[in-house]
Amino acid sequence: MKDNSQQVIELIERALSNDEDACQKILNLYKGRIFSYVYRVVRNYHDAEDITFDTFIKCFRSLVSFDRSRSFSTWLFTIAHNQTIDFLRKTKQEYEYFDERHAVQDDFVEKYETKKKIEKIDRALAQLPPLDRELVVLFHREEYSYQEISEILKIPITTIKTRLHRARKRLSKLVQENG
Amino acid sequence: MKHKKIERLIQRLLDREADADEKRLLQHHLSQCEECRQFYQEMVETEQALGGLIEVYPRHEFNDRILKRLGFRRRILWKRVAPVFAGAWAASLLALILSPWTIRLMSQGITSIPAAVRFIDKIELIVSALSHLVMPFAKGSVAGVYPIIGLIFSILMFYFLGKTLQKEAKCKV
Repeated sequence: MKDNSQQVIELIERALSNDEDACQKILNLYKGRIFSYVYRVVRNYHDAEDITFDTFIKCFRSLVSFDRSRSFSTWLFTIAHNQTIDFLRKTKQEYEYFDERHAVQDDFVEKYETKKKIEKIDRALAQLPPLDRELVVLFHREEYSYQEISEILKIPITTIKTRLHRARKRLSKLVQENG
Repeated sequence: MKHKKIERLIQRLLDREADADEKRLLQHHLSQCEECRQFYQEMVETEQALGGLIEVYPRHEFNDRILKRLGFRRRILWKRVAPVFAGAWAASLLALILSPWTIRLMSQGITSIPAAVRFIDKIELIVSALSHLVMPFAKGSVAGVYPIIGLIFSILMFYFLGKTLQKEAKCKV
């Protein structure tokens, strides 16, 4: 549910009227997506849970300021992204927009079964820099457009494209190496 | 055509930005170039695998933690506690009414009014019947303690009711 459907708008209205059931429903709709996204960036279950917790608390407390012309999920992912960045800064983990260390080669050799490949992809994803992980998950898992990703991460579309192209190639290479 | 250009086309395709002409051009090249075909295959498979990444969830008590932090759980706690307090209050009032002190005070104050005396007589019949039922369970000194317990419970109930209502008023999302 990417756009502001009538159901989501109604849930937001009810949550603003202090309706516990509406808050539960918002949590159930989005916690899996937000948690998966955060988990794939920080790669630690408990840290991901804490970040997701803070994300939803911030979401509900600032719900009154949510601009209805924006997509609710994009707004929520923006909060999750900011919380994740804060966490990475606090724990002094690297988060650079222009990380050029990963030179890539274009040779791909193996073919593998879909299930094994997903497992390998997940492991390979963990080896990418945090920003690349975010880009890959937002674009390929959440299927956000470049414009939406730009809104969430607050970085230019050109940077997103360059990073994503490189991340894809890097990912394929890592899958091959780890296989 | 250079492989680098084809790689850019493949990336555009994965970016969901390639138009019909670009797709045709790519198909044509891939049908002739083994190296690019292999690269394309790997990239598409990687993309498909990324789309298949499973959704992971926090622990099942996650919602409860959030709702508690938002103040909702206080209300739920109150909902659970309210019937207990109401029951305790009702029991304490009954204990207060059935106690010998209350009966003595009532009979002293109302004996001057004949109609009240007749009414009290009827009430006394009911009370004595009830007493016969209740007294085997509350004999001796315990019966004297009931009014005090009743008063304490009543005061506590009003105190917690006030506190809970105060918290409820503050619990704005």
